[in-house]
Amino acid sequence: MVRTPAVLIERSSGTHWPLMVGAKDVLMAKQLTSIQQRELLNIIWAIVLLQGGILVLSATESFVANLTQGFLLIAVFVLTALAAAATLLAARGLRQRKRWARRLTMTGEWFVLVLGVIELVATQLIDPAGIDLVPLITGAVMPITVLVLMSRAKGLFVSRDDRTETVEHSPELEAAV
Amino acid sequence: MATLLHTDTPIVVPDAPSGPTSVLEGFTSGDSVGNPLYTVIDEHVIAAVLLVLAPVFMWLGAKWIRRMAARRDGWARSLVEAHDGAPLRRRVAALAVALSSVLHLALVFGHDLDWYTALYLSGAVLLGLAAKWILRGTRSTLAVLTVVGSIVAFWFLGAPADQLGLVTKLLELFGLALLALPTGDTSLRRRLAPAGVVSMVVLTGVAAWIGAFATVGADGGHHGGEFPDPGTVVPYIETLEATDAEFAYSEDLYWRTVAAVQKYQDPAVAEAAGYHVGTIVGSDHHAQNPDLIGDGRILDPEYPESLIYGVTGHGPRLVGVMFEMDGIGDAGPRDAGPIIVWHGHDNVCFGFAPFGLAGLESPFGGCPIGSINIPLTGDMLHMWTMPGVPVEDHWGHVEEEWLDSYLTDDQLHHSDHVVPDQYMRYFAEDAEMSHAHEAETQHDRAES
Repeated sequence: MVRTPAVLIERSSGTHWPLMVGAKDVLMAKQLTSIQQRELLNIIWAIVLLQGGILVLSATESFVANLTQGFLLIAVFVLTALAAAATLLAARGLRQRKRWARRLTMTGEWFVLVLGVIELVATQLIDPAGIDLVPLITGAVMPITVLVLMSRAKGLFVSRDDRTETVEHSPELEAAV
Repeated sequence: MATLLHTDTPIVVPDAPSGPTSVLEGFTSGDSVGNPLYTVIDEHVIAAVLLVLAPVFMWLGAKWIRRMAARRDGWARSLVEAHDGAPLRRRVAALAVALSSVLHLALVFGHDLDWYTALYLSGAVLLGLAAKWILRGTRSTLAVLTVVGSIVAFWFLGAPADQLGLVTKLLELFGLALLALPTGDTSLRRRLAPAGVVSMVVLTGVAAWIGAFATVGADGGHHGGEFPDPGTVVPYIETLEATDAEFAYSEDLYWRTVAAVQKYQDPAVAEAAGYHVGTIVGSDHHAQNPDLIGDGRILDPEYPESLIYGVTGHGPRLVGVMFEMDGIGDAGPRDAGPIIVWHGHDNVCFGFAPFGLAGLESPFGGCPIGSINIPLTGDMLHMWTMPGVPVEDHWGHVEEEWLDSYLTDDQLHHSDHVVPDQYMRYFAEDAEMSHAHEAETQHDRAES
């Protein structure tokens, strides 16, 4: 079966409008999906950037705590600083649609979610006075949002070779061409 | 009359301790007070409820606006058209900023009328306008400056930060992150925008810490009252005048304990008794005896759960003890009214590599990686056993300057206790017990 790069059709559509005629619905649907996915990726990027900032803050706090305790818990600071760097790196990679960035983000979000849920449940068992708003958002809402959006934007993370999207020839498209 | 158990000489507990109340509004007798950093303060409850119900309100609001637009209502149509025409990131950014605006508006109704009310109102209006500009894609710079202005205002005027205040800033930072999205524009400003957002997050967290500590013992920011340090929970106390019975009880307990722990001046004796002394560092090294945790003995002079040592030029010196309640969340007895005030800790981060206190939960939630959040501990109580420690510092907090001068002044730390006559019997009893114990040990050795 012959495949035509959709991106070629997309780029050509300005000057070679007949390419779109007939196959308009199929191609438009594809384009919209791609645009929507890119928009979702923007939301993911913003959340991951925020998470990176929060980890930088946490690393700073850990550094100050270590200063007062003679660097007894230096490992905690190093781990947090590394997590902050990895998160910010992942945010950058997500913009470039790198697959390693997706994997890193997914792993990180699952880690944050599992830890967050454990802490929220433990908090309720130990002190059932109520759930704090901010830990609920940063420990559960944010990672869940990223995981859900990431699954919807999965199509954007393809290898470099497959970066140009392809659509199968349809009778309408062939007729149009 | 109640008596304290587990002591050879029963100590009389006052019948009617002075009532616990406080200068803090919204707290009642028996409550524990923590730093607002980890709570939603009373004035912000309306806004917090609104936040929880926000998804429902937003869904209903969206349906209503669409219906109004269908009826060709001018403003609704314009809003729907702007919404439908905007890319998703701008829609979400506008929504986050609009939600923060609504929360600011709700804060107006939670507070008494003062200039802070005006500040919240202006914040609500300006953020509402910013949300509109973001949605329409007009006045982008002004919209960004408005959101940044709201965050910066929080740094300087938001103390003490509570959970609701932090949520509004989180929403605004999220909106800002979406607006800072790198696009094809490769200008320096665009490239630095993400770094700017990260800096704003860090500075907002630092400002929250400063605000949380600044409210301790000061005028409490715009919410009045005095709060404990972040991570500390204290009972709610108003009456600072102790009754004679409370004073007598606390002094009785104090001197009985001082007499009982004299034997632990030598850390080796403490280690043999089960206290984990380890390497003594600093001026308040706590050595806990795990066998005494959860043993059912509360405020027992013979069995304080921890000993506190300080380092001097001549080796370690016992400076105090710490009593602990048995279980998490257990409140300490309040028999001595305002004299013996127990405290607990909340939201402390406990590290695993190695085991130890790794700090406090961050304003934006969570502990550093490699540590977990302990939401609440049982109550605990410090008692300072150094000779010459002022009577008002026998229990609870001792002035750091006093402690430091005690540890560094040779004359001071070699001085002996000046024991009031009525309590000398405790020292005599303790000496007798020590002699008897020593004689028994020698007898055992001789036999063996």
